[in-house]
Amino acid sequence: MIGWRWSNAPLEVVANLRANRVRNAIVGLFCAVASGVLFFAEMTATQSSVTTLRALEAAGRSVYVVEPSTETGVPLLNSETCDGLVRLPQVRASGGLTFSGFVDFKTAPGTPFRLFLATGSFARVVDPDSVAPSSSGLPTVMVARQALFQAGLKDGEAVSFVNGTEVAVHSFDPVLRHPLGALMVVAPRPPGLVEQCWFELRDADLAEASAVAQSAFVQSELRVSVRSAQDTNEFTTDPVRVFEQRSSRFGWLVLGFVMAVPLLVVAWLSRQQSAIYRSLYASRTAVLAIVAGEAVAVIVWGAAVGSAVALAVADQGESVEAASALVGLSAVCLAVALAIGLAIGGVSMTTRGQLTDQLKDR
Amino acid sequence: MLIGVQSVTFRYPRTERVILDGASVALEAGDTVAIMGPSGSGKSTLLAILGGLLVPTSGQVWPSRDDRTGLMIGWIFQTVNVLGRRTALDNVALGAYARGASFDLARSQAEAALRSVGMHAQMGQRASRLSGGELQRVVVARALVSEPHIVIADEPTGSLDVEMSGQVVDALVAAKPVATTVVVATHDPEVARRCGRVFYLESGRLHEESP
Repeated sequence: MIGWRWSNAPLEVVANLRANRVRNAIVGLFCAVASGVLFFAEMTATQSSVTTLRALEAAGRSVYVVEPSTETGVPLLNSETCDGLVRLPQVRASGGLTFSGFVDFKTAPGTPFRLFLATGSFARVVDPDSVAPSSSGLPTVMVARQALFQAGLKDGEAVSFVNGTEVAVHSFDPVLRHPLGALMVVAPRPPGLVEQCWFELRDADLAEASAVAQSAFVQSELRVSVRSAQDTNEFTTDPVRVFEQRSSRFGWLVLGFVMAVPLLVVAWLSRQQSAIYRSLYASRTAVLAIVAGEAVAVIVWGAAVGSAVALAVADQGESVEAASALVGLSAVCLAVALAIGLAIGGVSMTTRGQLTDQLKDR
Repeated sequence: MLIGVQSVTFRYPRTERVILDGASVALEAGDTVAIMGPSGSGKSTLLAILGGLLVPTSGQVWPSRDDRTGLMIGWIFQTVNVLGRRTALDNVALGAYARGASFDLARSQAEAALRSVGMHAQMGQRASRLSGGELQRVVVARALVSEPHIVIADEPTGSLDVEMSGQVVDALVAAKPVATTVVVATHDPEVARRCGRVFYLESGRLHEESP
């Protein structure tokens, strides 16, 4: 039998890794530093966008308000249509809203709170964490946490309300999502016409929100307009766009080439080694596997160490979310794949050519 | 005949110079052959054609390219071709891999081959720490451990002093199996003296010196 056993190729890779350990450690360290920098840059960019996105979502990034296109000053939207939006899969909560004037409590006479009449799950639109109060037998009025404090009331307390009606007050926190949330008092009202329809989508998309509202209100023959509940201006950053346009997004491409450079140099310096294997009846594929296998091991080792160190460093500051780490890891994996491809190409070049010339080439 | 060429000519592409001009040689199993000639006379080219690394411009080569699948050739070059950071044993084991030997078998065969060329004591040393003569004996052991039908040595002692040259050639001739053919290109008459047949290559033409 002439030719190598395939099982000897990985043993040669291991033996060469050990024999060239100083060189491999230097190249591996280089790959580790490069990978770590990319991992860290991508991870922190993602983390920053995720944090901003979370903050914006908490502040109602996906909350939209439907109003009649022409301002008439009277309620025109059918609350049942509005409340029904919640049955759509992309809608998380919805409810109608009408401003009803000012109200005060006996505990804080003279302090005007804004009274709104709401339908459906409006409270959950402006405060996703609000929970339906346990029934105490009394009608329930939701009072903004700050207003409750200002009025000197306690959560669940029974108070005398408009026209002397006894109600139970429950706190919620609409401050982040409603511009008048701080002094908001929301009382339920029966189905009818409302001024505004508030709803929250599962994902922010104004176009989709418009489509949802237009199709829902089309039967009422009322022209409606849809706007985001959040005020935006030219200084408002869109974290998704910021993430998509981050400067490190092509870092994997740069890093792939950067990591390939020392490997290509090593491959070029190893061309005599390739020729020795070939002169000893190792097939071109086997030679490629042996020489490239060493390069692959060094790149993967370097990338793994670099990524792990970058993750550990980033985790010292604030806890890193899995999604951010995954983006960093994906970038490093792409770079590693590119570097491996280039390294294999380089090694492949060294296995070609006249064997006698390569063996004399020192 | 084990291997040979008949009326071979060779000219490198895009050059007018004829390197080999009707060279013929037939080698039998077990022959020990020296090919002598001045630098640039075409010794290396003839060896490369015999070994199948080069295709002649014209003439015949035996066995033909298609019939060489079972022919094992061990190569020794003037430039010592070893993996410098690997041990002598590792380097010789590569020769055994060429015969499809497993890792363990290759190492035991390599150990025996190093012993046969007097390099047993240095088998654990890195190749880069061995002297030129020791390295060339490692290469001889690597060539022989693959149980080649033919060993082609291209000026194997060209960079060695007289004493080391003698050690290398003696190691090659003494350690080779009886049926293995050895072809050595050399300037050195001392090397040629140790071979059974001697050919001279001059102006592209090859002629055998009578014993």
